[in-house]
Parts: sequence; C-alpha cells; structure tokens
Amino acid sequence: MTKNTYQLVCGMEVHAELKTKSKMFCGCKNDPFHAPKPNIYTCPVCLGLPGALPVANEQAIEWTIKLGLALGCQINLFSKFDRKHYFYPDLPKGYQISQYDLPFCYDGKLETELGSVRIRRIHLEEDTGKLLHKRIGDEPVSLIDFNRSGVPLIEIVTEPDISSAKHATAYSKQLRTLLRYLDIADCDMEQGGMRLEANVSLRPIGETRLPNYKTELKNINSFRFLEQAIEFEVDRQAVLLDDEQPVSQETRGWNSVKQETYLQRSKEDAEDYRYFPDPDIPPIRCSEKQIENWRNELPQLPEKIILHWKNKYDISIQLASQLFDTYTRDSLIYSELFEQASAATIVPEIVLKNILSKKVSTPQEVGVKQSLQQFKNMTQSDTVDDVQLQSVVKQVLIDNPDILLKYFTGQKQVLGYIMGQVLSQLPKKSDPVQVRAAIITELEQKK
Amino acid sequence: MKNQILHLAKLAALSISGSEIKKYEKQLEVIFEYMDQIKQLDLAAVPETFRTTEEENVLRGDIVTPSLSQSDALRNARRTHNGFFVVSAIMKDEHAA
Amino acid sequence: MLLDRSINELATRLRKRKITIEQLVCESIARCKAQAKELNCFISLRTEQDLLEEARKKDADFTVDKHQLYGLPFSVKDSYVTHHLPTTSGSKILKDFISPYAATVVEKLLATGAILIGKNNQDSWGHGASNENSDFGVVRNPWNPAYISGGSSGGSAVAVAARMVAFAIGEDTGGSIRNPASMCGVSGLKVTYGRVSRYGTIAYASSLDTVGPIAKTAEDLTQVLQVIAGVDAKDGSSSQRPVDNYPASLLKPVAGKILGLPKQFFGTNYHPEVRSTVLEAIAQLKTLGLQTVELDMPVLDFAIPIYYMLASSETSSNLARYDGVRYGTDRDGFLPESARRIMLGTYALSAGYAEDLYKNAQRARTLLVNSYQAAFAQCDFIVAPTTPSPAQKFGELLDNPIENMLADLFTATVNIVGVPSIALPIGFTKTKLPIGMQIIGNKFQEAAVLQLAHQYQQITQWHTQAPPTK
Repeated sequence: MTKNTYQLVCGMEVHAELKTKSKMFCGCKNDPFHAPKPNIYTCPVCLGLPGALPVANEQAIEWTIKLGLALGCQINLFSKFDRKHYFYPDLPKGYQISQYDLPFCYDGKLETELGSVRIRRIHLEEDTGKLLHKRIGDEPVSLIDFNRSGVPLIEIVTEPDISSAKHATAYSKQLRTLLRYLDIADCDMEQGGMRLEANVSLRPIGETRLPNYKTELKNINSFRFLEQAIEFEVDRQAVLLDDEQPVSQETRGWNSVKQETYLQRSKEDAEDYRYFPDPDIPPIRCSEKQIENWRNELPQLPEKIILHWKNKYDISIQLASQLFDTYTRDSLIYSELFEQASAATIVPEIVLKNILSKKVSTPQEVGVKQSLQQFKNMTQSDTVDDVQLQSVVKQVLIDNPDILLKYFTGQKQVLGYIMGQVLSQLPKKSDPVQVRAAIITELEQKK
Repeated sequence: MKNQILHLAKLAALSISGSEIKKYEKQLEVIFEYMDQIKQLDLAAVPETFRTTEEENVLRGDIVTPSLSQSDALRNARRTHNGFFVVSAIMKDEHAA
Repeated sequence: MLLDRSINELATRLRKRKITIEQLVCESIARCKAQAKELNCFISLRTEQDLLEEARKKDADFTVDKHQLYGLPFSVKDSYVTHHLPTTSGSKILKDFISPYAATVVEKLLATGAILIGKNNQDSWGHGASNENSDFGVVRNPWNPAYISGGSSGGSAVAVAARMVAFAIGEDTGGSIRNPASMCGVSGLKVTYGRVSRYGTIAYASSLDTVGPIAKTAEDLTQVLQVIAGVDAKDGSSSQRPVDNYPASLLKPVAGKILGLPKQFFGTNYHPEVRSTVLEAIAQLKTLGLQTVELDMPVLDFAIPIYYMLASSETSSNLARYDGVRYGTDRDGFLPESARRIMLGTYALSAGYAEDLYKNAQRARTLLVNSYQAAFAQCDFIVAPTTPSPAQKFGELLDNPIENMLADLFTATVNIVGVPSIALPIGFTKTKLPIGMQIIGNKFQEAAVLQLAHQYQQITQWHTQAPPTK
C-alpha cells in the first residue's frame, strides 16, 4: 500500500491537570470535576474580575520541576510566566497565564518499549473554564462554568520522535503511569484530567528533513482513539501525497462514530498570541541545591524498574505496568517479593498474576513473607485420600445435625464452618478445593 | 493601512464601524510614526527591563481559601442560567478542551 | 471651613471634642451638594442618610485612641473596587458593576474608621491627562470651571481641592495623580512601584500602575501613606521592604542635599509661566540649604514614545478581560482614546512587530533606568515641572493626539523607572490657575521626598489657598 513509502513524523502535546489542593494562581479549591454545582470554586482571580491579581502556587511549580527531573530534563534555574492572548468565553482574562520562552524544564527523554521519545519542554499554565453547549428553549447557547478556571495544567511537548500510532499510545500510557506514580496528577481521561494532542505529518522513508506541514489532532480523550486517529491520518495524508496534493495545515478532531478525522479549523495563519512576560508575577529562581534536593526526593522511577524486572525476573512489561497503575509507589516491596520468590524457585510472574487477580493478599497488606506463603498454600496443597476424606465429612455432618437444616434453608455460609471442622481433622496442606467439593457432594446426597 | 486597522481590531476584539476606520487610520498612522522615534536610540546590546521590583519567588503555599458564593460570582453577569454564565452559541473551536 | 484644616488638626479637634464626626461629614455633604455636580468630580456618592448614620455611630464609638484618620471623609478614584458602590473606571462598560470584593487600599482605610464618601470621576481606564475622556462627563477645574482638571485622577484631585474630602486616593501610571494635583493646586504622591498594594485596582499598565494619596499638604500625605503602604500577600508585585515612619522624618534637616535639574526637561519649550514659577520654587528650596546641579539625561527626549509603547501594550492586555460575559457590556463601549491605545498596544505586541516595538521599548526602559541611577549618583532629588502647561480649556488637548501625549512628558519616565515623586503647588498663573512641580526621589525614598516638600510648605503659602467656593 502507498503508506509503506512514507514514514510517520509525529510529536505529541499532553496536558495534565495537577492534583494540588488549590488552584494555580489563587486559593480556590482544585476539584472541578466533583463540584456539586457550577461556579462555586471561583474568586476574583480565577474569574478575571477587575482588579484581581495572580499569585503562583509553589507546590505546582515543585511538581513540574520534579516531573522534569524524572524525565531527565534540564531545568531553567531562572524562569517566568508569560501572558498568552486570545479571546474565548471560557478564558476570563482574555489571556492565559502560561510560559513562553523560559519553560521550567526542557530537553528530556521518556523510554518506552517501542523506543524513546525526546521531551522538548515541560511548562506550567492555568486551565480555562468549561463550556457546555445546550439549548434554552429554541436558542442554542453556551453555558460556562469557571470551577475549572485556574486549575494548574502541566504541558509536556515532545520532539517529533514518534514513529507509529502504537508508539504514540505507548508514550502516552507511560507518561500517565509516571504522572500517577509521582502522585502529581490523577490523569483521568474521562474527566479531562489528561488531554492528548498529536501533530501528524508524513515524509518519504529515508528523508531526514522535517515535512513542511503538520496536522494537529486535538480533543482526543482515550488511548484507543489516539491510535485510531493517527492511523487514519497516516492513510489520509498518504493518499493526498501520492496524488501530489498538498496537505493543509489544519486542526482535526476524531469522530469515533464515523471512525474518521474531521476538519475543525484551518491553520494556514499561525495564531498571534502576543506573548509578553506577566508583570504581575515576579520571576522564579531556583538554586542548584534546591534542584538536587528535589532530585533526591524522587522515588525510583517506573520505567527503569519495569525494565529491571523484565531483565531479572522475566516479568512482562504489561503486567508490571498494570502493577504500577494499581499500586503506585510500592516498587521496593515488590522487588523484595520477586527476589524471595526467585530464591524459593517460584516463578515471580505467577505470584504477581495472583496478586493482581486478588487471589493472594498484597505484600503491602500482609508482608512479603505472608504473601508468598499464601501463594504457596494455594498452589502447593496435597491431595487427600478420598476414602479418608469422605469418612471425615460424614462424621462432621453427623456431629452437627442442625447444620444440615441451616444449609438447606438457605444459610449457605455454614459451609465455611463445615470446611473448618473438616480441615482441622485432616493433614495441614490438604487441598481446600478437593475438601469443599467432597462436602458439597455429601450434602447434596443428604437432600 | 486599512487592512492593518481591521486586523488589529480583530485581534483586539474591537468592533470598528466603516466610518471610523478612516479616522483611526489617520490617527494611528501619526502615532505609529511618532513611536518610531525609539529607533533613534542605540539599543542593539541593551537588555530588556521587564520589571522595576527586586523580589523573586513570591509564591503561595498550596492552601485552600474560601471562594465567592455562586451568587456573588454570577451577580454582575448579563445572562445566567442554573448557576452558569450564558453566551449565545459558540462554534466548537480549537480552543475548546 | 473644617475641611480647610490638615488631617492632624482635625484629628486633634476630634479628640478634644471640639468638633464631631457628624459635623465633618455634614460639611462634606454640603460641599458635595454645592459643587459636585458642576465640577462633576464624583461618579457615585453614598446617600446622605447612609453617611449621617455612619458618622453618628462613629461619634458614639469615639475614643481618644482611635486612629488618626478615624471619622475623616475621603474618596477614591473609581478604579478601586468597592462593595455597594459601583466601580466603573470611568467607562460605561462597567456602569452597573458592583464588585463582590474591595481593594486592599480601600479596606486598609476603612479599617482606620475613615468614611468613604464616594467614587471619583476619571479618564476611562486611566487613559488620559485631562479627564475629558470619561463616559460620565468631563471634570472641571475648581479654580476655573471652563478649564480641565487634569487627569486621569481628575475627580480625586478636585474633591480634595474643593474641600469635599480630607484626602483622596488616586492612581498614577504616567502622571495621573501628579498631573491633576498640580492643575488643581493640591499635593499628590506617586509612590515607588510596589510600595502600595495594587490588589483591587483596575489595571491600566501593570508594571507602571501605582496607588497613591492626594491631599492638601505633604504632611497630610504622610498620614495616609502610613496606612496604605506595605506588602500584600494578594499582590505579588508589592514590595516586601519594611515601611518607614513617614511622619517621624518630616522635620529632619534637608540642608546640604542636592537638587538635580535635567537639562532635557528644562531646555524644552514649555509654558513660560510654568518655567518662571518652577525656577522660583527652586530658588525657595535653595534657601533651605540645598544646592542645584545640572543633569544630562538624553534618554528623557524619548520619554513619550517609550511610555506609550509600554503602557499601550500592557493596557491592550489588561482590557482583554472586558468581554461582557461575567460582567460589563460589550467591547464596543470603549471610547476612541482607549480604542486607539488598545490598537497601538496590540500592534506593538503582534507577531512580526513585537521585536521592533515592544521589546525595543523594554530595552529603552533599561536606558532610562540607568540614566536615573546615574542621576541619583549626582543628586538626592530630581526636580521638574509637573505639566508643560497649566490647565487648558476643554477640547484643546482632545483635538491633538500628540499634544495630548506630551502632557505626560515630565511625569511618565518616573513610572517607567519606578521611583517616587511628589507633585506640590508652587504658584499660580496670572489668570489664577495653579502651577505645580515635582520632587522626584530614588526608590523607596518617600520619606525624603515628603520631608523636602513639607519643609518647602513651611516657608510658602501656596498650599493654603483654596479655590473659590459656592
């Protein structure tokens, strides 16, 4: 097919809402998605009232820099906020406070199983309000809720290193894992806590220069849609290029019903945001020492650990990622668990599978030793002699006549009592599955 | 120059009527020319001054403080509906998130 | 008239129970009734009933340890948000806007027990030096109502000059306190940038705007400044430096200090009566033991384009929030002066031009800062006229955009570099229009500047003269 003569050139911009308690430039509560009513977490600052002034949230800045350190970025020791101007009803000041030429972080890298992706920059800005499109009677209107206005938003921009739709997904998932692992963002995509944008263009295979156009895919709120949209775009652009048609510089959205991208806005002219440094906010200057302190506070990072576990214990990346998504921050204890399992010639990955499917308690709850013991008990139980088993069960039922009545009048939980009674008269590692089956058989016969 | 006025008015979301364009054209032309005087200064090696204050790192701790009540927030709006601000329908735009 | 007296005198009389707050407020109300409409210095006034009720309550609660400003009537420019009274910034776009919060400067003054009489008329959004650019009508000069009051804080200066209030709060971005103070024969202080909190001040140009007092004398200004100065956690640009004791330094000796006279200011062609009056005032200052030195500050010749590039750029940004969604009316309500500044600012910041225009203005700003620093190495104060001309007749400035801009010639660079400056009355024209002068100090030298102005006012009488009342 034609697309095999082209190579995807793709960079991504991801926005994530930081989970600070308060907003970026004011003390209003940062909880837009769960707010019971619209416009209850607003104040003169985030509403853009006349005379209000912004004051930056230091926690948001610290977390932004920590993310940068986790991604191996350079940190701008001297940084500032800039005003980015455009008019839109959900943007109360008519400008967004963002960062232009001195972002907090730049030049980093994220590793994925499909290849690394260079991080161009990470900067901090404020979120806008939310628009809802409705009808009041016959009239189409837009309703605006500013609970979200001013929420801290981190923006991560990559170089165009992404080479396939799957690579884009791998990158986005890995980024989300990291954000959650650092406990700085929940990244709930349905809530808009993480937003994905991809810049897509094609060039002939072997060409090293960047294409002279790019299409922006925006408002994509799931990994699956991201992959589908990029794949669709690659096909669409390949057809145009084969035909020697120019590909327009555009913003496109993904229609999941029609399974196609569609034009949202033509971007032949770049937006003129008229950036200038925000005079209301003094610059931010960090010391090398402070950066070092923050670097030392970082937990060991998921991507490294995941690869380490793959190499040492042959644990699949998918399972390891699932672990990080479910139980963040507990890598050390799992490393210990895998080490001990390995030493006892137990396959670590199988232990992990049972923990994830909740058949075995987590080491955080009961400790590494107990966790492993549970696993051993579960899988290393002995088969009981059937004759001996049957006689013990019969005896227990005779000794407890009221049990039968209770069982057959619906109190099925007495089965647990019977199990206990039977097991106490059998060898320690008796197979509970076998015992249970024997009891039920006996009970059914007594019906 | 006329296109320039229309472009600036659009960027600044100002509505300028046809009759006003000519007037602004003349006035702004004079003003723009006057501003050009700055070019007479030798600014090549001069750094910019963005602020006359000395402070840096003026930050707030991550603490929640009381917000306005919903009614106070909405009080001065021309149109509201069930706790929301209202504008007539906006076409979905790239700025939408 | 009670309101002829200084703040300290009024406070002393209140303590001695020679006067009551009710009497003071009644006089204020009577003065407003007599002239507020004609001079048009208020956009909104509290009701008589409200004011008397407050005055009586304050009389009942009065004790000798109440604050110096307790019970004194004051007003603020309508660019300061207040509860109850609307805040319009002189524009019809905000004519019905009632803020849900109050500016820090207002809260600080109300906390002393001072009584807010009303909100003063101004050039819309601070855009102007004549107070002819208001959607609420022009403000008239109390010395001669056929003449402008100056601006943009025209209403505030007039309210003080016409003895309607004991003091007022104006706002100065390029001369907007000093200009009308001098045109109305009263004293006005432009503080060091960041000395007084801007929280709740409708922004004109964020890196230039200052909040400051207008009163009859430098001594009065110190009383108000002492209350309003200081860091504010809600204003990130406010200075963290401790506040001086301004009243305490008023009588410290000034002999031996040096006055710098920039030749770029004194060499320009400006009104001859202003020139002669300023030179005479300088001679008076010398009798206090000061010396003069000539300063050469070539960058001052570019004061106006630098100021307008910066101020217009920032105002185009600060006015972007007025979109009619959360408050106010549509953006077609801007007056031509404001529309011009918005377009000029948008142009200066726009792609392809920002490097040449906005950034060059910021570079030129560095040259100005350096020039002032070099000047203060040679002198303690820079002196200059406040305005190139005494008050003009209505319409003279409006017809001529360049002349209009040039009104800021002597005042604007002070804002660009962020230093303090006091404007004080130094005489009159033959036609009895006031003339004023500036004493400019280095950063955070408000105490020194007030001190010199005060001692000048000890040996002169200009500040005691009041316009004809009706």
